[in-house]
Amino acid sequence: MPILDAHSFEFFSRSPEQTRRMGMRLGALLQPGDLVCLQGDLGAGKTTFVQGVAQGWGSLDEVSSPTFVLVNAYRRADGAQLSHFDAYRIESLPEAEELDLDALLARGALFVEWPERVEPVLPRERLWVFFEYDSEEHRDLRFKAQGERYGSLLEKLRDIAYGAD
Amino acid sequence: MLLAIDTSTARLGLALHDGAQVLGELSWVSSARHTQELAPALGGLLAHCGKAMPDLHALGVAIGPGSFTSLRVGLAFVKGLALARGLPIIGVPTLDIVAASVPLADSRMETGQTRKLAALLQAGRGRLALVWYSPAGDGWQAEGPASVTTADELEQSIHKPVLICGELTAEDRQKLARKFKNVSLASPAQCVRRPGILAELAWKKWQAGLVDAPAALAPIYLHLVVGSLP
Repeated sequence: MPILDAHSFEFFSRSPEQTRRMGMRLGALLQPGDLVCLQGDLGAGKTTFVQGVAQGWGSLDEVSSPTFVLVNAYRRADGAQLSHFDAYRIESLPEAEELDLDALLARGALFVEWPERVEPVLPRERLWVFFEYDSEEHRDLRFKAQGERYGSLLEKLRDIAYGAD
Repeated sequence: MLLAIDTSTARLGLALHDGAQVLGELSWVSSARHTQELAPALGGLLAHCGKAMPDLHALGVAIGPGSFTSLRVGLAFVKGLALARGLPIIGVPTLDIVAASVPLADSRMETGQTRKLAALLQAGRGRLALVWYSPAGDGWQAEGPASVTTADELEQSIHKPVLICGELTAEDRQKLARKFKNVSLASPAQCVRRPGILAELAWKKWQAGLVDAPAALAPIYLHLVVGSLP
């Protein structure tokens, strides 16, 4: 698991199960207001990763693709919310803005798929994850933190991932 | 009787106005979801005032600018009531409420000159929604549509005496106070958008026949980002 610099690291997943486990570790560390962007092509492991995140976070709801509903909200027993936004079908930046991402962030953590499409409306501080397809089972996940909160989040994630391996 | 509803920002407001007086008024900063609080709060206000739904004859609503989600909640609620009970809707720009809370006499200075009023509210991520008002007849007249600014930009644009009123953070206040000779800043209590004032403005428009078509009435959305997708 190479460390690229203090604000990024790379994880080579050898199976969907490993991708999901990485998501679970991140899910357990989430705080309300956290923004995580997931960039990668179809089949690169974004949904598998979010399924892990929701499980690690403690979701009562099952993860489904928000491509057509735009935003899914998952609930936890203590009333907390996790939002899952898919920007694939967004046609303009004002349309993205009207979804009121700030209101979603005020309620809990937010995961964004296809974030590169709506980058100008996203807060500058965030965790960005690049997913790349290597081979049938192998995926390359690159984490990049912007801002103090995400630097420390990434550090914790790295510690947990190392400790567990 | 007219019901006024303001859900422009995290502050929610409800008021009942019978033409002669504001019978009841509720205003609070919501920490939870507007949708969950609005209907029970209206039920409570009606009960406190000894009124019921059939007593409502018109609906006044603040139409923004404000935050996207909270504006939608208020407009959807009011439209639902209007459709179910066949009531007219009167939309009022949110910053008109802010402006109306400042006495018009404050525009006149000892020198005999008049000063303009900047009405503000939080537009998200440190930005402010701004409309300039000038005195006209017995009220404040908006000089144009709302624009997006910051406390720094506004402070730098002020070169003569002005009044400032609206939702401001402690930091915004500090920045604007740097122009202390030219800026007269309303106190935090005076800056609270009062639903009773919304009710009064809506009542006047209703009496003047300025009613909105429920299907066409849309919130004033202020976009911070313009442009097409990359």
